[in-house]
Amino acid sequence: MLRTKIAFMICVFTLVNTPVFCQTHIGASAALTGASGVLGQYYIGGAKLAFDAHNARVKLPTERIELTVYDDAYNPEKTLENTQKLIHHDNVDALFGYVGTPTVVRMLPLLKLHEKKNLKLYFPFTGANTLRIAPYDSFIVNQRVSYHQEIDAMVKELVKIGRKRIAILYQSDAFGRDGWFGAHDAAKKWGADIVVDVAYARGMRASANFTPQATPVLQAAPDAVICIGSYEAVAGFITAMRTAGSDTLIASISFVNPKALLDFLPQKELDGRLRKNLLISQVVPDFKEKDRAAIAFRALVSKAEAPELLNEVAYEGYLAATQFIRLNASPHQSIKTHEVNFITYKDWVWKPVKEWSKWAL
Amino acid sequence: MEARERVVKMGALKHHSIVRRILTLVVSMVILIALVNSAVINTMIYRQLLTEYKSKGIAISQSIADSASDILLFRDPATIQSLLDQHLTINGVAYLVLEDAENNIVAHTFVPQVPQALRTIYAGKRTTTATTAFHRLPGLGNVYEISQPILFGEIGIIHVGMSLKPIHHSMLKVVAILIPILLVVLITALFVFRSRLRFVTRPLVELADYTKHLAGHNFEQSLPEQGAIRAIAAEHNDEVGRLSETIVSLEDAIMTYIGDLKRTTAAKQKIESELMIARQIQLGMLPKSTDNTAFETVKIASYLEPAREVGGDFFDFINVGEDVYIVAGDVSGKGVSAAIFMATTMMLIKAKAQEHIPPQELMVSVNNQLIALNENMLFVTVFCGKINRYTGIFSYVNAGHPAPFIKRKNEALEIPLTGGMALGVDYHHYYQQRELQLENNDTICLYTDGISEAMDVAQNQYTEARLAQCIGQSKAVSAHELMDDILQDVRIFSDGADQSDDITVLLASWCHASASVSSELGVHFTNDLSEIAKLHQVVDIYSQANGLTKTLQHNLKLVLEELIANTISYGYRDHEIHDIKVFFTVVNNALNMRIEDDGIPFNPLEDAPEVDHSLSLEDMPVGGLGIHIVKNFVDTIHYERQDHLNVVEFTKSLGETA
Repeated sequence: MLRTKIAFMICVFTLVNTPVFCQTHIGASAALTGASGVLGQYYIGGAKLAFDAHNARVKLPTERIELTVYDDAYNPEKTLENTQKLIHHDNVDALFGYVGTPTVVRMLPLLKLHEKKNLKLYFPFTGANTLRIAPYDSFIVNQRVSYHQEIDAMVKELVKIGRKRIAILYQSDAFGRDGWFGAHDAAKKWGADIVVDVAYARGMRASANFTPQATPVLQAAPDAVICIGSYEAVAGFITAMRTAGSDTLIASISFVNPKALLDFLPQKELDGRLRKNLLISQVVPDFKEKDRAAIAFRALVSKAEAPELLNEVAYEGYLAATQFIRLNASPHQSIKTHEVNFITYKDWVWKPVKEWSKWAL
Repeated sequence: MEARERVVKMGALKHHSIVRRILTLVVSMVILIALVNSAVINTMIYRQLLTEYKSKGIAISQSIADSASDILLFRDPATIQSLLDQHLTINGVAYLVLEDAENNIVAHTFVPQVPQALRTIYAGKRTTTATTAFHRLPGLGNVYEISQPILFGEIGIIHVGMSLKPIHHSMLKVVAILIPILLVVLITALFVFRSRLRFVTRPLVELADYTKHLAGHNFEQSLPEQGAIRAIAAEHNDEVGRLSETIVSLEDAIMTYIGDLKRTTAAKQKIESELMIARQIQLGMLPKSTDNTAFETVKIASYLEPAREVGGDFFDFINVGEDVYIVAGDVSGKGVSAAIFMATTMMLIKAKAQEHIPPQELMVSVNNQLIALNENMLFVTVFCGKINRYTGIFSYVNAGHPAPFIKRKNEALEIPLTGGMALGVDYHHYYQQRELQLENNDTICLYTDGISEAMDVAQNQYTEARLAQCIGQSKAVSAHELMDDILQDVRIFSDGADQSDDITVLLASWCHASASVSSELGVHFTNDLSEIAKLHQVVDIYSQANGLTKTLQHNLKLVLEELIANTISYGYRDHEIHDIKVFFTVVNNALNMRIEDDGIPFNPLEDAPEVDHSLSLEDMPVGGLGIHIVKNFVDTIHYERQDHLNVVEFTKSLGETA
């Protein structure tokens, strides 16, 4: 209900701020509903905190940045349609904050098509490698590291603690295939074995039956499982694994929102085993830190009275928006990226992983 | 009420097996046609769709192979996966699998994994040209897979699996549409058929009722329903109409037939009745059982059985003087004409015989008279013989008749033919007569061809030879016994076969007179004046046998004739047949006579008028003269009424025997 409310607010905001001056107009197509709907809501929500603050702060209308958002429900075809609408109908100056790999991969040819307009995609919420290599790397501005880098870091740490037999759960689409490929590369690099890989169909909810995915993994008895998927699917898979009796280490890449994941893993069930031995890689700093950006973010969240935005994804959106504002003002500034770090659920909260040895074999 | 009955009858008819069979046949045929039609359509759709799927799969695989080479060389797996996912949305595409040059699966659309079956198939498989194959995969069913090498396999292979489920779904859709349509058509057709059935069965019900009534009809006049049936015949120009017309015609024909039959039957009954009378008359013409009294030297047994009511066979035996004529004849043809001709012939012979002429003359005469009366060109074979009862001389003429036999001891001698032609043929024919001497106890066997040509069930004839054998082997001691033997043998022979011709047998046995009469003799006479002739014969025979003088013989005739003629003429008040018994006894050279009759009480010695001896013999009254002669002749005479009998006894001394 709350998520729907936020989505509605975003759409209203967009309509109210219809550009009348030569302001910077940017557009986004994101999953506001569906299996990854929360991600879009958080990411765009976080970004809007920054844009609202910026628009409130600037005096000249030309300095304003207006954001138009359409919901694609994590459907690549819808993303394509939304993007065409943003380009042709809304005449956006730039594209911002798309959520998801298959959705972004699907609309990439449009960037090439409108190359003369210097149309770029800023800070999509995806670590897909394809956005970081030719021929489209020049059309995309990233602040987060790629999934390959996330997985590389993850495999490196797992090998260090002796967990070399690795299983992969991946989404059956471009996103999943990208991560799958990155995992195979990393395994080769660090000397790990991909003992089994299982796919799931994009859009599967947490309540879906994940036994077909869990069964081959259980049979292979890996040392760890790397998940390249949405939070709902990963939650469903974790539930299936834990229900089947496996407490093996399950690591997910940053596409999984930690807060949203917990919504589908009740503490009370299975004696709390659902939340045990979980790892998530992160590509932005912890919003709970005491640096300027984090403090400003928390203040804006508080001011907007939207406590649900107090999470990693919204913070990433906020950081992306602030970078865009900065770049918009001074185009030649460098892009700030962040190191990969890991969090795990412990003592009722997600905490940075400081010590890997507890999972050592 | 009538309508309700009709409805009930209609219901019954609908359940009749013919209607049910027609309905079943129609439904079966429609279902069969529908099934065959569906099968053909489905097969055609299946083949067409399969062809399209194949070409579609080949096109997709070709398209991916063409575009994948660049992508594989220049882009990352995410783009490749995106490419595969895009093609997965095409209807009918079940899966896509991309292998690199080392046979590693680098992208696919299976969830959760590529089936092991496919992995096994793909393992080590290299191809430079497109190949196709059918696979049956869990969860996907039958799949048609096209494997398309990318850049002749240098880069890898793209496998496109086309699911056959959409084809099956399409076929099911066709069936799902076809079946309701067919059902609607079938139900409509049945409804229409049922309505038409009522139209067709209504006249059938009426016809059924009509024929049912016909069964109990007397056919004296038309059934009341005939009008309705004629109307059906007029309304329906089809099989029902023709059937109605036929049944009406049938009733008319039966009525005509029954009418004719009744008339014919009545006429036949009348004719049969008249024929029965004619039969009785004809049989009545034949002489009754022969006088087989002890005195007879000629004893006769006879039998005649007409094949029809009346016949052309006849026999006769006629006593004339000391001769007995025996005759057997057979008129050509059968039936009434033969019977009349037979009667004519018989009457002529009987009349001629009374003239006591030789058989030769008799036959010539009869032949001439028959020809004069014979307009219908009939003829008759006749054997006519004459036996002298004292001498046993047998003279005969055979006019075309089968040769009779004479049984002499254990032999059957054929009586030689006389070469005569059948009577009624040739006016100028001369009939030759022959004679032969009979021996004591010889039996002449006359017969007609009804005996010799009697048939058995196998159409074999009895034949003269078998008759001769039967006669020869017979142990019979009398004419009657021999006749019984012959008839029994013929019946045994023709057992089971119909009698084809009249059967006539006449047997006459002759014995020497003296051999058959003793000194004690009892003779029965009937109250008929013609018996007087017989009385004379008896007296003659008895006298010869017992050596009475001619005078005594003559006087005895006179006395007995007087007494017996008197009794016959005046002794009875009714017209019944009565017996008069005469007993001859010779004891102590005296003849004792006893006469018994059951007539009214009459004592001739007293009740007869007295004779006036003064009158001359011519002037004496007749009645008294007779008893006068009696009293003069006898030595003693006595009358007595015993019970209901008049008994007269007298004696006469024989004196010197002749």
